[in-house]
Amino acid sequence: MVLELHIWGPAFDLPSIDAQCLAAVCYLRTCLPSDGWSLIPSSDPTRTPLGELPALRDGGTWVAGFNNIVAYLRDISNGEWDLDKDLDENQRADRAALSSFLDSRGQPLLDLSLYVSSDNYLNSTRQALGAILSWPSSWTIPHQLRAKAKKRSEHLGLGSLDVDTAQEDKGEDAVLTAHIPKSLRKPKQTVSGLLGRNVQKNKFRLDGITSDFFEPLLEALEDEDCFFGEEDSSADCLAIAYLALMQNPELPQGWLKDTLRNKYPKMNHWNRTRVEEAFGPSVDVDMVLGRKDGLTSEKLVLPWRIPEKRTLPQTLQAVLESCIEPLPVLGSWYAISDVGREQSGNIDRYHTKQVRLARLHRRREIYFQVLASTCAVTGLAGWMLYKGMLKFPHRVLGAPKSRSFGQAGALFGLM
Amino acid sequence: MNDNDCGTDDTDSLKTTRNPNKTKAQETLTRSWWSLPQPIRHIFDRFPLVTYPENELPQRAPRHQNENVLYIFQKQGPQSRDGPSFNPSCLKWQAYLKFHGIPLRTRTSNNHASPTGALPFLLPASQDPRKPVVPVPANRIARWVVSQGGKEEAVQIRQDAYTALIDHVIRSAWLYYLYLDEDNFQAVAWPLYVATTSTSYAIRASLAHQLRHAAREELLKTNTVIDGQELYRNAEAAFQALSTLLGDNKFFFGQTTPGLFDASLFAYTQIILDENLGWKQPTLKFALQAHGNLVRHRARLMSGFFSA
Repeated sequence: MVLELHIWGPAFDLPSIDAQCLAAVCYLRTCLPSDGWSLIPSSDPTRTPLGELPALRDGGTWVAGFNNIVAYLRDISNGEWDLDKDLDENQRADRAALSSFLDSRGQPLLDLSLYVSSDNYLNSTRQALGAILSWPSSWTIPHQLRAKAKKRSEHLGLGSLDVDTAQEDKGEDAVLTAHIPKSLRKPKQTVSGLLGRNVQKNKFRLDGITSDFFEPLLEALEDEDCFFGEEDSSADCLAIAYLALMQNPELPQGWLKDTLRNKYPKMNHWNRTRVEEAFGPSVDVDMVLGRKDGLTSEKLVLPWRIPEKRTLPQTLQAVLESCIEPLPVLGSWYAISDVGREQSGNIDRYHTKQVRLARLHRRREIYFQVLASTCAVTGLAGWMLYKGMLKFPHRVLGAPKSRSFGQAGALFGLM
Repeated sequence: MNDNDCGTDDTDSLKTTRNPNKTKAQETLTRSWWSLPQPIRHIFDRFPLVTYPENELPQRAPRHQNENVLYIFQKQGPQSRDGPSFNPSCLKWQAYLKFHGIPLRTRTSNNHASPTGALPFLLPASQDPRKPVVPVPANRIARWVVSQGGKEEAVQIRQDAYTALIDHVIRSAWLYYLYLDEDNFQAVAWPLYVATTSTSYAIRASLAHQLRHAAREELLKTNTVIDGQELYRNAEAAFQALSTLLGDNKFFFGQTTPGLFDASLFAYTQIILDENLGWKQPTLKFALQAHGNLVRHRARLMSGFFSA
């Protein structure tokens, strides 16, 4: 059985634009034989039943998320496909801590650098996403990813990197300045000026946040090649993935890359060599996505496979979903956020979750279809009534019931 | 002042009645054109009729200005006056301040009272009763303790990584455990957070909805789909890692006195293991009870600093 790894597509010369996906690629490459798995840059979480990438497909079972994939590979191979098998108890504890540290601190940093910062998002990340997404996702998904990234990095208090909101604030000022004579007004701020000022103001905070992330990592690495012992562990894969996405992209506001290069040259060097080992030379987006020939050549380091094209119904479904999701009440009701509580055994649990999610999806879809068809029928009937094509059957009023007054009525001529 | 004036005027008038022989010119001097006529003055002399005792200070006025007051979520009642809070972030700082031997009084409060919108916050003892004290929010309490002469804690190797384990993995599982698990929410969170704030059904229902919605949003930041079992499994792994880290030591990182890290973990273990809260689905409790040293760590801190 060939395992399929579905990921967000390549960007910035790396196999994926997402850190978790990169880590999964790195892990599978280190742990599995190269003919044992294939890499599919599908970039569409809705096509996996779990709605999340990276997702590993093993026949009918899907597993999503880096940690789950690691656990799944360990479970199905009786511990053979497990990079952490040689760690002792203390190292295992350290590995768990380091992984959660990377996830909880690294991701917000990437969010700030790639999505929140307007300059970087508009000039680099959005283009990169546009190259790997197909219509209509290319219109909606970048915004969704950015909104999610903003939420995740909110607690760092660096929202002012986002010039869009900064300009909204400026709009409020404009009302006030209208009353000030022209000669006394300050010259209008340009976007780059605003950004430059904000960057300086934010620089101190950014320095603090980046050193909070890099210092403990450097401390954990201690001049070695790997975090634990001689061999790679799953924490190494995560660290390589996060650092690669901090190091590789050429961004207009490259504070993260600069900090890594200038302040932590040792870590920078370590990661550069590790990234080359793990992912090989830079990836050609068009070739991998099947827009250009050459995928069959032997030079490729990773077992790429071209993702299937979307069929027409799938595209229609995607259009419909992208229309529903931003709706205020309906959207949050339509999206599934909770799989509920269900106990299951060790290996079955992957399958149980998937089945439950599929069931929930089906149920929502039925509800939604009922709702949509009710709305359509009501609308159509209303329109036809309005146009006069449809008429309520008029109650035919029978001849008014005449009251007879019997003989007396007849006498007076009342009929 | 008025009383005094009236008094002097009164004595004046007595003098005039006693000495009728005094010249009229003198009388006109003392009695100016504007002074009150005699009968009205007599009436005013009777005032004030009653003097009421002083009003009490308004409820929000700081009572214990010469003490440090920590505002936290806490059960009401005299026996739990010094007891541990039932909210992890409050308990963390309550424990931290106690570990550093800061004299402290706790007061029951809620998020709406806090200047930052979230409990806990600290009102330090004021040296000068006329100057208002500046409240210290949670993220500055550690710095405040140092400014009060407490020792600054050195950050241990790998402490940051293990802190992430508590703040990220265990917190996520906790949010699900308390808010999103329906049975636990009704059994524990409802009486603690919802029922204490209001008796109106509508307010309670809306508050409960807000709490659960906030927890859901928080979890959706890092998860695409919330899977409670997965969160619990991650928390089990986290407890395993922390138990290994603690080993046979009394406190984390081989310290002789508990520090901030001990406080952060104690904040969760105390509430999860608290027998007084009737958890209906005690998944996390069972997961934690599998690690004897963590249970003993909690008991040690409980008896050492919260013996009521």
